[in-house]
Amino acid sequence: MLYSSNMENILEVKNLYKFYKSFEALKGISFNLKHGETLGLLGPNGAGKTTTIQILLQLITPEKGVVNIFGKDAFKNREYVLQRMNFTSAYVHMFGALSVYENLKVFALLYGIKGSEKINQLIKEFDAEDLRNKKAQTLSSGQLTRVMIIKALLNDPDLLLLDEPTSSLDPEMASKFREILKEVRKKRNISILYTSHNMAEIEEMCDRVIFLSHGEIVANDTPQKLTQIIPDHTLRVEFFEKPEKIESFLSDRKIDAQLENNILSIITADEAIPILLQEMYNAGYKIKDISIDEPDLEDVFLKFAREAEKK
Amino acid sequence: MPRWLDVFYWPIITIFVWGFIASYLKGPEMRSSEFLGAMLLGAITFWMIFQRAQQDLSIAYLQDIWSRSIVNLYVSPLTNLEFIIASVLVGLIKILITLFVMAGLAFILYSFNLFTMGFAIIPFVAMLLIFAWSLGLFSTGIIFRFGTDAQIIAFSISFILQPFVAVFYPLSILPFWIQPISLAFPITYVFEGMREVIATGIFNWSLFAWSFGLNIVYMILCGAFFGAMFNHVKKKGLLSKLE
Repeated sequence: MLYSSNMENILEVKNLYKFYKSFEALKGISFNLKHGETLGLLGPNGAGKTTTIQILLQLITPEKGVVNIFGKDAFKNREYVLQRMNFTSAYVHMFGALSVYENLKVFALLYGIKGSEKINQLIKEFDAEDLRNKKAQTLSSGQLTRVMIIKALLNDPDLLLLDEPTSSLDPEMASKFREILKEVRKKRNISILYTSHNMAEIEEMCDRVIFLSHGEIVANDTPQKLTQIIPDHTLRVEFFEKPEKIESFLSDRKIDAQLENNILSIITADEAIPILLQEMYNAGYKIKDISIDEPDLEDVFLKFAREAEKK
Repeated sequence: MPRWLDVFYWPIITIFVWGFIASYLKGPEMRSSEFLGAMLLGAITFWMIFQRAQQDLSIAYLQDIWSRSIVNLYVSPLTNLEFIIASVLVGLIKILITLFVMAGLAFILYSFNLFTMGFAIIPFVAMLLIFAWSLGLFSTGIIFRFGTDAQIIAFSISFILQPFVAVFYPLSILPFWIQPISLAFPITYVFEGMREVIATGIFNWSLFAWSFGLNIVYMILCGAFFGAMFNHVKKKGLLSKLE
């Protein structure tokens, strides 16, 4: 599904191709990002996520395709678009010999930000006062990620590209990061392109998700709609005692299930669950507890990843 | 490559340079010890300026590559030209300090006043710096293309040229067939001109013109090479993989 081009789009990518010799990293992908929207870019390793992000950042030149950012051709207006964007990744470091503050000062100046007010404000927001005078080379990966996030927010970007931003953070700091990002997004209506291997995080943060596989977009929708791709739910039924003749009950209905410690696990369609439970009740099974696991983005990711492996 | 340089290249270069110096010193021409001292101190001072300026530009890039921070620069609005100008300005400050330290020590310890060359020192140093920065761009282009495996070039390229550019001896000492190669480098004219100023006090405008003209050519060629290598790296997706 493609979104139509309109004035609300802060980013428009059309027919983007990238080849590395005979390897087709991107096969003409097209997508957009609306003003204030958070878009998740997902896919297995080698799907083309990093190539896409690096093309948007102009670290890689594509073979073919159009990238419009803030309504302008990104390749012809490099300085203009990069001035209003920022980026962070768990895989990028800072200049090791300088302190955190000195690094942030250098990056602030690259974006034309004078004075220390913005740096001090972000250092405070991210509880990084203790890191201020530490040399960047002495930071742990979690500390470095925190500082890199501060760097990414220095220029109050309109478009933020985040490549696995929380992968080195502990759960508390990752949660704090998400809260701050939500706050920044709310205040400034910022647009975000987000990659992460944490599906719960993507579900929490993203308004829309694009799945890439072998350089192609295989899905482009909201996390809620994407989970509907997988119709099956996992129904767990716990009985008071071992259910008698449950095998024949299941085989009559051609249902695959696993019974372990009086708990029956069945993978079935959402709409079949009430009927099945009613039939169990009618058959006299004494049910102690019921739980239903809905498919989540991780299941969708695994489905696409398995399909990609088969190709 | 560094091992091969250690085993073969450096000993060969060293023996050539010192061999040419020895040939010059034992030559039939009578030279005062004062002239020889001034010539050698002037030559080493100029050589240090050239070498530092060449390395500074490449090392500015290498430091960001070593610390895996280069991506941060290229995702900002900073352009290559701005980065190069900034590196050149920082390099210039360091070189001025180097120049004054070396000239001061030469004066205090050996009574050699580099500044007796007068105004000639300005065009000489300018020609050395322009060629050094051109070579810095060339070696940075190589590092972009081949990664830090090729970083040795940032430190060795000036030494590769040393025997050819007649730093410590006149061009006429070099074998006949090497001289046309030497004349293809702008700094050969600087060192020839420096010796002429020390010996006669006359600034040879013709040598300066040759040096200036060749510097323009090298600047264009090395700038184009750097640009081509940078574009190649962006096309191959290697910029974020430099380390």
